[in-house]
Amino acid sequence: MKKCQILLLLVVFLFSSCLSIKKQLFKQEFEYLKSKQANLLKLESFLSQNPNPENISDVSLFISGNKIDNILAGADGFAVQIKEMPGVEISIAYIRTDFSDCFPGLRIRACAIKKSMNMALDLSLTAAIQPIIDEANPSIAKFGVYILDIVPVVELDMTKIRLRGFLKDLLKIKLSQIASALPDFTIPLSWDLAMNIPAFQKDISIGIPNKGGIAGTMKSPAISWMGKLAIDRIISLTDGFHIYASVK
Amino acid sequence: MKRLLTWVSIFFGIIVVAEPQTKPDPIQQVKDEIQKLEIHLKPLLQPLLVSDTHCRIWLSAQFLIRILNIVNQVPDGYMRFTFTCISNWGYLEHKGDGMLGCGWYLELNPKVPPQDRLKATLEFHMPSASWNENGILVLSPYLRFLADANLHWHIWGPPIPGWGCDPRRPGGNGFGGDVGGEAASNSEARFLVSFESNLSDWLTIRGNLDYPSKLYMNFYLSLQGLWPVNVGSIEFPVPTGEIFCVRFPSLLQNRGRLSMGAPPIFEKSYNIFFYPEKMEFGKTGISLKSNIMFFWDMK
Repeated sequence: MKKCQILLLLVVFLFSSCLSIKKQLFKQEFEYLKSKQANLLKLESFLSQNPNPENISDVSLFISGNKIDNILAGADGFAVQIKEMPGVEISIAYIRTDFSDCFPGLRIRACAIKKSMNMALDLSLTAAIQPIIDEANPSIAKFGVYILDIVPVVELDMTKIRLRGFLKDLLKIKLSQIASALPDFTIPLSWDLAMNIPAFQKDISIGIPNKGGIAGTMKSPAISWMGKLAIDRIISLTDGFHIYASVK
Repeated sequence: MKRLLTWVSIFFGIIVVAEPQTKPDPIQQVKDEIQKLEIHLKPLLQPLLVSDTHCRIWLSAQFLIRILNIVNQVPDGYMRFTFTCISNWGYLEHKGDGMLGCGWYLELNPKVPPQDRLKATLEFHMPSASWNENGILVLSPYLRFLADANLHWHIWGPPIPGWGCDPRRPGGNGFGGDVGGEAASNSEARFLVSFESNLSDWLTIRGNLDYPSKLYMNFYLSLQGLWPVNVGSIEFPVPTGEIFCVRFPSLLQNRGRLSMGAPPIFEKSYNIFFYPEKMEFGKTGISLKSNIMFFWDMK
């Protein structure tokens, strides 16, 4: 009888913790969708008033998803030890963009390796990038990462097991925690503008027909100017990032 | 203890059983709303898409006009070209006969150093600019010409019968004096501004002065400020052609960092270069379609 009760209690605890994880994931997805919805609403309101955002900007820059991938390729092969998981090394195979309107996606292929157990966890992650404009430093483009889905495959010696259900959710929670610990996936763009009009100097000869002449030099001082671009808005579309900026 | 365990189990059991959602799925609701929004946004987003290049930099006409107005930000808003005399020869004016007998001449005063003999200033102020769809920015600067000269005038002595105006005649040297000469005129000038882009310079803005090509400096002599008489003039050449050339070799050339985590657990620096391929002019400004090159730091 006692054994039955303990078993029941264990089942109930497991079930409730499973539900708690589901709840957490639900909350996470709901928050993400709400944030996406809020962004879309803001964009809709903005574009209704300003169908061409260039009309209210000094400079605009478009960078295709393909070129963002070139930047992200710099992280290919990067491996790091995670503090929360001693002995585990996370190696990033690649990070690539998957652009859609408003929320740019990110495909991450990584591998978690636990050498002591001769175990590897192959991870395919789908994440969303959220552009953030830092008001304290408006010339830097920051991109937050939000994990949407994960397909984990455990490789134990020669055996491959695809994790599903509760274990997959558990892992997703853990990875979200890791991702929220490293939210600032940043691509800083510091745009300084400098303009220099060099000094002008020209020798001039003024002829006075049948009388004489004057020789002299025409000079003008150099003029220089420094400006800084500040990002006002970043819109992500299916083709890439559209950045609108003004000159301060 | 047994009872406690039983009640705890029942309590959690109730929670677990009570948990299943009877409410409508809020996630699905938000997803539906998002889908509607996306459909509505599609026609608004379509015109913003860029399909023919990996990088497009657009500069507004207003921004370019502002850059050109930087020349107005020099003290008191004038861009100045100053002319300083280095040397001179001959006369500014001379006459050999008439009421003044053997004639007279006017010259830049040889008794003062050359740099003090003639000074002139051309001042440009650019209050207006208009954008042309062909990528030409027409400026209508206001031009002010100021000049002052240190002059020496001389009247030869009268002719003597038998000698005529021979300079060796007695009293033939005549007399002369020093006087200042001033000139001031205002006029409209015309600048043509053009834009270029090539591999060595990302953006070059050239300003060419188109008009006027000359200004006149008149010299007056007067007795104590009365009855000023125009005694000569010179054509002062205005340096037409390229007056200024602004180069942006490194506009939007960035040194960036790819980093993850705060404090960063991964950091890599890169240099990003924009190579212009095509420049297009439109009603609102210039767009430069470029290629992008990345160079990662090796460290």
